[in-house]
Amino acid sequence: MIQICSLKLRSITSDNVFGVDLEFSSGLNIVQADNTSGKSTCLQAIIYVLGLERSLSANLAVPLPFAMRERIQVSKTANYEAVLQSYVEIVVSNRQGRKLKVRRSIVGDTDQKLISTWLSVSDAESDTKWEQQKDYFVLDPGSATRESGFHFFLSGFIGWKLPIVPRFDGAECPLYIETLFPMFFVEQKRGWSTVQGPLPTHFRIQDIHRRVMEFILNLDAGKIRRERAEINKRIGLLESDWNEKRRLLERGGADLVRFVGVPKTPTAEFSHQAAISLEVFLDGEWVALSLAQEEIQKEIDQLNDVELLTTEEAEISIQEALTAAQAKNDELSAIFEVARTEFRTTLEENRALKKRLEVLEIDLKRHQDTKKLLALGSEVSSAVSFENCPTCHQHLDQELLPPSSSGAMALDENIAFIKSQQIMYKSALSATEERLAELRLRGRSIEVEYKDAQSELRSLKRALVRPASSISRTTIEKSVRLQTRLVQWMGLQEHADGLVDELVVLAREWAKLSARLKELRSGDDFSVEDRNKILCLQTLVQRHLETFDFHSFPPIEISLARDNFRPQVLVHDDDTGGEIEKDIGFEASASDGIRLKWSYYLSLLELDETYATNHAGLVLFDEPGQQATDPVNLTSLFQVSARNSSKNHQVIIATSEKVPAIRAGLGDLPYSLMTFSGYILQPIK
Amino acid sequence: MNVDIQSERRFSFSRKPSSVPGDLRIGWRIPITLLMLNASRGNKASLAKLNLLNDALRSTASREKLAKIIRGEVARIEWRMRVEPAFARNVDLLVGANLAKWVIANGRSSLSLTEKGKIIAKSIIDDDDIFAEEKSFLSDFGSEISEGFVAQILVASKAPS
Repeated sequence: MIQICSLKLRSITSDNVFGVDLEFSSGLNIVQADNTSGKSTCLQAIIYVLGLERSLSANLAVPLPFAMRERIQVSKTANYEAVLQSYVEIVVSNRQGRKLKVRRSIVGDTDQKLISTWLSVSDAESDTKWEQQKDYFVLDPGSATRESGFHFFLSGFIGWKLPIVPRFDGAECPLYIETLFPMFFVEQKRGWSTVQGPLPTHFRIQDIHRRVMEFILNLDAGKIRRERAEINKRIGLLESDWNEKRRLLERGGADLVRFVGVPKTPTAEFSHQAAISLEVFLDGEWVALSLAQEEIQKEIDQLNDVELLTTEEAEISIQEALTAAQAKNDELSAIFEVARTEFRTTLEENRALKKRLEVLEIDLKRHQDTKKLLALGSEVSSAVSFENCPTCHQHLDQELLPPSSSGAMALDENIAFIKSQQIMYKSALSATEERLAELRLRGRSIEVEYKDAQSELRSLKRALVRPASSISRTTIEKSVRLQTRLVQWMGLQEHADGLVDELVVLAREWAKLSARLKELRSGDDFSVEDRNKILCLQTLVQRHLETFDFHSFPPIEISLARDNFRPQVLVHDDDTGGEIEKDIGFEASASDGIRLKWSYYLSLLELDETYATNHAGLVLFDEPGQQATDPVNLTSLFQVSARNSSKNHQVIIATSEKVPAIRAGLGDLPYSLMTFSGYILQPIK
Repeated sequence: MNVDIQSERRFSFSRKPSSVPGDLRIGWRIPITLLMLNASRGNKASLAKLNLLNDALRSTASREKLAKIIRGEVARIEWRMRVEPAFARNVDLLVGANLAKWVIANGRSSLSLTEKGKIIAKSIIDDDDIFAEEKSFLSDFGSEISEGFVAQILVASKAPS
């Protein structure tokens, strides 16, 4: 919440100090003066001093008339004096009663992008004690996001936590204060043309009307949407993390182990029961690692139990072992050959599929080009596509195919046909890729086993030619070989266990987020509180329209659109015979458009009384009657504003309505009136 | 697979329309031919040149090969001149639809864009979305592939290899 306590304008020439001091209080404030006397200057100065000029346009020019920038005169007939220095100073207060003095210069030494501020001392009873001056910047990038940016500071002072919203270019930005302000400040020149805003579009924020209204009404809908986007993003991150870990797991297997039971994407099941098993290729088949370990351990134990023999004694057994080893060696090399052949075939298939997909891609592109071309306009499409031969008028149902073939598929059907082929070939391709990975693994395993077998063979051969009395080393060597393999496997197991633990953590997080996402997806985005708020706002708008004598439609028929919260009305549609919802903006008369704007803005302010909204608690109307084609009754606007605004709210109206009319209309209602005759900016003694 | 076929049911088969490769679509080939003519000097080209371009535009590999020949990285003799029957049908349609006409220029008969053909070609060029690859090839090499160049290629392919 923010309220304006006072406003000070200064424009200094060599002879005079021109300026004005305006004091504002809670409730209704009326600034009365004739046209072209400087009322708008005062209100525009509020925009300027708060660095909000970009809420009016993308242009960075100072939105103040020349009296504050170049030259100024005492009255219409007096001489102009050149402005040497000028600035605007404002004092605002927030909900906590803390005051903030802000000064920004227009002409003079100080950079216009610099804003000087003073916070009131928090426990001060008098208004005059200020903390030390702090300077902030505006307009440069980061003004809304960085500590030293004025809007970052201002939104904190007001108590706003600005949501992050998506832009058209895909980036994100905070919902800038500039986009919110047109919902509180109705500027004289363009402000009365639409019900909402006009909101600045140059920030390129998507759905700006809806986002601004959702924030001002403090609806849960925006937060829900935001949370959903956030969760989707985090789920995406988790999934890529998962893939990374999964790859690590596979690579860590050193092409010797395959992992069964790690899904490609995280699943809820995995988080509860991570049933993964490691398998190794042993004796021609995939065996669970634990079983293989047992088997090898057994073999090692057996070898260790064998009594060591001399070469002579062992000769027969070595001969036998040699024959067995030779047989195993042959077998392995045969298996290896088979695996290699299979690998090659699959690779061939894989390549063929890739090529086919490439061709399909080109073909699809051509069909799509043709389709787009036909959509270019009748002149082009009739020139380049023929149903019949232009010369003999025979039906051309074969396109450019040789005449003997059957009829050609229609363009769209053909596109669908190509796409379905792509799907088929792609799934075939991924199948071959999986098969390839599996075969590569198996090949590596066989290779390792083959090498083992070969070294065993060698050691056996060597054993036979050793001196007869020396101790046979084959058993020991075999035992060592097996031991090495066992150690390697255990390392792999440990590595995998660590990673699996991490995967389980990821899967748990994933499951939690997915559950929350599912919750958020049910129904539309509005909470019960949201619905009540919208309904209440709608009732308020209707009631105000009644008071302001709106007559384009019966106010009771007016509702608020659920997408951008603009007032709309049900209109009978002659074409379809049904009822359709229409934006009132285009349907109402000009004067009614202004009444609608009053109602809408005052209702938003009033809603803040009953519900927790993010309304600034402040409404500024610049010349609320001037744009009407037929005279609108300002009295009712003054009355409603005076009656409805509480201590927490402030309505500031600048008008050229005559003083007696204002006084008569308001009677005993509380308001404060500042009137000026002639120019508001006058020399100060 | 066992399927019970009731004898009283009668079967009939009808031919499914066959899928047409994209480059055999009239709606693809006519605009491509218009682009070829548009990229040629005076909006006209001999049949030999059109056949050469047609061949080049139909696949990435042949496009690259032609580019290499133009840059002199590969001998001209490497190019295999092909004549595609579908292209002849396409040219007939083009002439029949009054998008192009046969003229005699420099003692050679050439296919030349008509006014209507020029308008259509322009609207295809103006849309950046379609035929992007083909258009970029033509704009890169269109000026290099002159009638003289085509003649050289033809002479080279006739030479005994």
